[in-house]
Amino acid sequence: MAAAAAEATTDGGGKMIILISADGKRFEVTEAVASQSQLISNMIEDDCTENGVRLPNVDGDILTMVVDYCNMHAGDAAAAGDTMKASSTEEELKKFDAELVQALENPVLFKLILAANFLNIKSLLDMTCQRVADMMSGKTPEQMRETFSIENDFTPEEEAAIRQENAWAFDD
Amino acid sequence: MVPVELWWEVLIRAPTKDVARSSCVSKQWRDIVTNPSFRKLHHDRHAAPPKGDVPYALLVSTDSVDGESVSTVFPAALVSPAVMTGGFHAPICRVSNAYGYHLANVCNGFLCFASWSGGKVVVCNPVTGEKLALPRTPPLEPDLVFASPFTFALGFSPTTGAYKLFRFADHRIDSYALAAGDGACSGWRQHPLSHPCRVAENTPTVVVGGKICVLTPGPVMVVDVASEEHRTYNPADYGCPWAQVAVSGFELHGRLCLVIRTHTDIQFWAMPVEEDNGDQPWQLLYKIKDDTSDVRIGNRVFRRQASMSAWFDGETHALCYKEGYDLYSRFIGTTTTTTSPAAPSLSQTEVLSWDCKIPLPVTPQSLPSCKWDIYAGYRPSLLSPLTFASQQINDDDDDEDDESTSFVHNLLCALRHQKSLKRAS
Repeated sequence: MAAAAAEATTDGGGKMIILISADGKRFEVTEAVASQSQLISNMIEDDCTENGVRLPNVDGDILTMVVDYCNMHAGDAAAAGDTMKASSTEEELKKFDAELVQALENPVLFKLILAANFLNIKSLLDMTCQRVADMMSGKTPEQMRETFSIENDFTPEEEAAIRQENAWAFDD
Repeated sequence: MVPVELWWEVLIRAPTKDVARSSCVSKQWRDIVTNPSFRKLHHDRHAAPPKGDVPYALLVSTDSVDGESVSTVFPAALVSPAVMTGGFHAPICRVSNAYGYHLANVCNGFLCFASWSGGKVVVCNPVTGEKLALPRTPPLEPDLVFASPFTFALGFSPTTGAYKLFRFADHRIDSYALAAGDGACSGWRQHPLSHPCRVAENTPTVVVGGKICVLTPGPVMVVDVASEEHRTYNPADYGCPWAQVAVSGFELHGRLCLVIRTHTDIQFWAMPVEEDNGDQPWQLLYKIKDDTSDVRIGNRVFRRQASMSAWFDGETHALCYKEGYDLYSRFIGTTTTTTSPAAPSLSQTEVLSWDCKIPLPVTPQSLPSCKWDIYAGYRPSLLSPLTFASQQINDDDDDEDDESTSFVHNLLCALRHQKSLKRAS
């Protein structure tokens, strides 16, 4: 990723790439922005981005969020050589990240996680998974199932046995 | 539908307690959470405590049952009385060891039990209920084995991610690195000490920030878990001779908090921060009036012998202090004590009082072998101690009496020798 970012900055980060979502929406981004995705970064290295990058797993509304995120965070990746452009401070980024995931309904959040996983954007995957992990905090298994629409496939006896094993964790 | 590998990514980021509850959600989640590599990765991700993290305290009671030491481990959080009346508290686990094992220390999510002779150590994770017997410790000077006290402590280095067991004795430190199964096993290593370390029976140790602090009433010896280098800190002036104080300690805001009981008060001292330009002094954080007094008969003062332990309760933001059958607490607020060396120390004359005194039930006489205590510094993890089961042969799976077994073996050899002499003559 570092190598790709350096390459982009040498020609002013000007080389553009077209990302195409599952529903045919097109997004034009710089190589520096796009190469935060390890998947796309690899494609850039292999020179197969000329006709646009089709992302059949990612809807347009999700890709909008991903592109926003990458635009915002492009500063991090390029910051080493380009201090002028790294205008977003760490605090602004944190605020942006928090606002991005805070308001999302669960199904959308999970679509974003899937996209981050597919595109292999480590920081976005980290942030979104952490958000879901935080949502589990203090919840009972019933509340967790409800929150994440998970079906209970234990028999009552099985569930009681596992509860017994983990009784200490139900102390709150 | 969320694929299993993404639930893995989510669950690995949740704290241990949430993960433990999540195993009841579905079979898929249970399978993730009980996967050994998940447990190792989860441990590694959470091994360096975040700033402001407060470890739990555990109440561990041990009783002998059918010739075994059975230790029952409970969380020892101070909760509001309304919650306490909820009824029976679930133990985290019960651990059975051969007779005579005692809990030496608590390090992250592990409890470290040592046998009475010091020959053997068992590391246990109370959450998973798994335990591992470590290879036999090298003998101390044979003639002095009963005379020279020793103390064990399991330590952890957040920088290297490695666990090591240490044995502290009069003139030496022995260490044993717990390497993951595939790692090279280095065995026990010995470090001579130039100055004797005055360890006694049950010398308290505190594991904090990759270091083990050995709390003798005089100097505090600090051993770096990763480098195994040690140095000694002279303590502050407690206002009374070392010989007359009792010492304990716990982790407070990422530093050692040394607890000193003098005749008149309980003092809480923060460990100096290591600086390039010389060390900062110990910082007196709190001085709390001692409610119990020594027994005085005429002009003679008899020291109380009751064991003491102290810890910080993260839920109630209170300093806790247990001595004998009394538990004391003092609310100290949520503000973290600044680690800046320039921070003004509490004036030596300002003496606080306890907020709260809770008399604890006295162990009934019908349970003569039941012993309990409170141990601070517990951070639950899912890591199995069996991760450290190395290829070396565990020669002593049957714990029972193998001191005497080896003696009997020698006895038999000697007899055989006699026989062969007889035959030769």
